[in-house]
Amino acid sequence: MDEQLLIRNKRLIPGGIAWDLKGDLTKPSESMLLTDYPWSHPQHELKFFVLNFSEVQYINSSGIALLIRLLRSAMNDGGLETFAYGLAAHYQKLFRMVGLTEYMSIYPDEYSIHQHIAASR
Amino acid sequence: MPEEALCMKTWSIPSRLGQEKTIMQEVRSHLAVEAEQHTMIENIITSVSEACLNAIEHGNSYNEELPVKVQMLAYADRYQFRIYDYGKGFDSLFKSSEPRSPNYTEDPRGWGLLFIRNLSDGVSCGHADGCFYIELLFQRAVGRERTHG
Repeated sequence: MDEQLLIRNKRLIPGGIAWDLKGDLTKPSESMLLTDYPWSHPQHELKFFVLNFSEVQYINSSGIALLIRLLRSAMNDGGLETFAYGLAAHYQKLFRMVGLTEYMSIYPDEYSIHQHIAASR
Repeated sequence: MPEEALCMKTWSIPSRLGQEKTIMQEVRSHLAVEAEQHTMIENIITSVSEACLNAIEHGNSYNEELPVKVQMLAYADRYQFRIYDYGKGFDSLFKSSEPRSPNYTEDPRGWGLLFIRNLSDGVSCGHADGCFYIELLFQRAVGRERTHG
């Protein structure tokens, strides 16, 4: 019944990389989400990691647990600052409830993230 | 005289990940007909789905021959959901409702209960007919009347 999570697109952005996610972020998402980290073999300077949740329809607690593992690696292993956009207000509330916002800043859209990145460089 | 529910619905799903989405769609459809507020709907959907996931994983151990049953009772002032499984249940339901940082070493599987405690207006558990159940309460806006059976 789960719509399998896909990383529909992995694209370079100024100073980092963005992933466009599609599907359900649940327990079966582990293999898609937690393998082949771009910061493990960087071909470019990576300071920022952006996650696009616009096409993610369903996130449950297991999916959030996977997300935290991803974000911890991005921060601790890659030294990256992570951002997210396209999240429904309800999911933003759940993320704040488990403290996930300590690892990731939530913005309304990608443009505002790029504005923040440009201002910080 | 016991209080009469305005509406009662029951659903049964096999203990397989992803099946909770069936319950989510059914509950969402009913709540939309009742014109409940969006925030309340989302709180109910998340709470009930997380309870189903716990039932699937921990109660019935992914045994697809053991169903998870969901019962919804709609009263004038509240919704009551019971999620039944064939497990032994758990004792540590009433922990602190304070959100915890991911740096805390608590098992992330407990986050489903964290959501349930924080999104619902009441949580309890018990045993009935050989099954364990968790019961969730959600307060409705006052003045609701029977709209359909």
